[in-house]
Amino acid sequence: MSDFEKLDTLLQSALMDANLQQYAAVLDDAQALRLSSRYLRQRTGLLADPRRWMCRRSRPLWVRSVRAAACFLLVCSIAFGSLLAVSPTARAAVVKWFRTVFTGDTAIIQGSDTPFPDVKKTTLKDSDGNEIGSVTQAGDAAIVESELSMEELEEQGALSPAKPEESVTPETGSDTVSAAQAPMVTIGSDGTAYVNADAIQASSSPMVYRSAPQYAPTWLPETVRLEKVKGNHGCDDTRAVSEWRYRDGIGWLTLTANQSKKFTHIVEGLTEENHETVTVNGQAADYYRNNEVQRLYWDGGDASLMLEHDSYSYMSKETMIRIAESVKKLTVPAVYSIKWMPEGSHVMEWDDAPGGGWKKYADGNHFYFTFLYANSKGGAHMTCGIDPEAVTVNGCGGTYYAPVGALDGTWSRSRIFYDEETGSEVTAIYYEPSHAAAITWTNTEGVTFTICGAFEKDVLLKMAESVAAD
Amino acid sequence: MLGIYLSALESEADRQKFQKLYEAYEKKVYAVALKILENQTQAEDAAQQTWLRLLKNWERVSALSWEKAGGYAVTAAKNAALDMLRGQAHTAAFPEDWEPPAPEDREGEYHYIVQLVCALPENYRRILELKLVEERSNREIARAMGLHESTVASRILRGKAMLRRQLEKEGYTDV
Repeated sequence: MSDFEKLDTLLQSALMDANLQQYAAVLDDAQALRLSSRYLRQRTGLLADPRRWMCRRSRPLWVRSVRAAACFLLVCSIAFGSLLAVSPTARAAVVKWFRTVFTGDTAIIQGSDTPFPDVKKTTLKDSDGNEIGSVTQAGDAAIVESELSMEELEEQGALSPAKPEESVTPETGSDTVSAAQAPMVTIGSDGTAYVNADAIQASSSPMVYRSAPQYAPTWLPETVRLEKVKGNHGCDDTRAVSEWRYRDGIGWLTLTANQSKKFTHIVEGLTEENHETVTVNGQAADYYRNNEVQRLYWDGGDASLMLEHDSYSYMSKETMIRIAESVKKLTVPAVYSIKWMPEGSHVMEWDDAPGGGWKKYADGNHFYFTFLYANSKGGAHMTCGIDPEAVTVNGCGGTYYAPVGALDGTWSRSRIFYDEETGSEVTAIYYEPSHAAAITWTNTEGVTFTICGAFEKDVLLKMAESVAAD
Repeated sequence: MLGIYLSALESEADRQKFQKLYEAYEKKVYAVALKILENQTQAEDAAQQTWLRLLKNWERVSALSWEKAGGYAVTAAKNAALDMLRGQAHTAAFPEDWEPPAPEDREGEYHYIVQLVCALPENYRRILELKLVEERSNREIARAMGLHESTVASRILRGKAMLRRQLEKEGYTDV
């Protein structure tokens, strides 16, 4: 290390310590401070999914505002039938969409006579080439993405009139923009967003559907059970990542498949000193281990794969490699949901894809329950309850696990969750896995399902029998 | 552009580590921002910006020790708050000279460097923080501080030179 590098390193550390020293009194008194409900709401979103939160927050405010304004005004205009006094082209196309739904920060505009027969996605860019939004058409639905919720829109004043020059133009150089070189979206001097649907249609190219590939071990130690599947663990369409998480005693084993890029190996404590080149199915793989974690990276063909095991329980390197060698690309025919649930139930969190999925629901009493499905080769599921009892679900064999005690709240805990559907915090009640009831079964197509929650056996069975492909 | 951030929090261990840091430093980050901005709403916005910066630089933050990660969070909070102050008459000059403290009873070299940094004129200190701690480019620093890129480069060199000279003057020859 040169003298200059040494000084930089020392300074880097000293600059941080100087701030800790300078603000010592402030830091000591920090715990007494109270944060606003607005901040706490944002925090819930951040902790629920830091990556998604980061992606949303990374865009400049004006971009988010323009996107939101365009989206919101489009929806409002359709709803009130007063859109587009200026743009006859847009009016002609947009009036074909007759139903609008606002779900948090995304407007879904549906209709029976859409001019867009195929799934297409168009990126909206400004004249500098900056991405400012997207319009996706899928069958009879169109989705205009936005970054802000209704409440945030009002807070940020995004609905105030915008300057006429803040126009959104088609991607430069696109040879498919024929319906006019006119802007796709124009924000008029009165603040109204005008969507030129013909221009959008003309410049659309088929969307690359990046459903993340699902990989799972087909061999696991008996103590390891599948707990969660994040079938589409990505935050935008440049990313295709799936994550299958297993419980190993009190620790975790996680298999992550990344189709869009190779993993970065730089992790704290995992350096060349604890790196070893090993072989997985005859191919070189990178194995790292320290006192906290061990990781194995290898090429899975369609995706870059990473198997991670934390240090809360022991697993040998040989076992890691054996698991890795058993990993196969899996398929599940569809995305599944529970079609019948007790009144008042709704989905709170979901992450699924054709291949595997996990959803969290809340029932009418704010008890939460989970639904997991995966190709049965992906290993046995982590289940709740005790005393396994054979049951039949739509003619297929399954198992019911009874709760340890009565489902009267005795064993429950309350916790604040982020409700993705409503975009708000919810105080929900949950049972520790060992104290709730569960049902698990495998259908004729080899997909294994598990529902775990505070329900009586007959209710669980009824829910299980209602599970069907979306 | 977003693609470069996406290596953050790829594993469960990373996510747990981030959550642990967040829970430990959430109010501290806010407290530092509040001290500078003296406005709750602005301080909360600065706190959000701080966590955004930590997430964007997660590979680097996660490679730090626990104590240093806290120092990074506090430094980022201070600079996020100062970024928000920009435009509010925040145009302090870069003094050509300064009066650094003398070392106390041959204190250790590192401890003395920390004291020197504390005494460094604020604009030099901030520019070094942005460069060496947050590892921002000269262009980003220029934008944040309202300076020309070439000015940023010369101030970084000058700030380091001021510290080095003082260390040499006091007989700390290792750096």
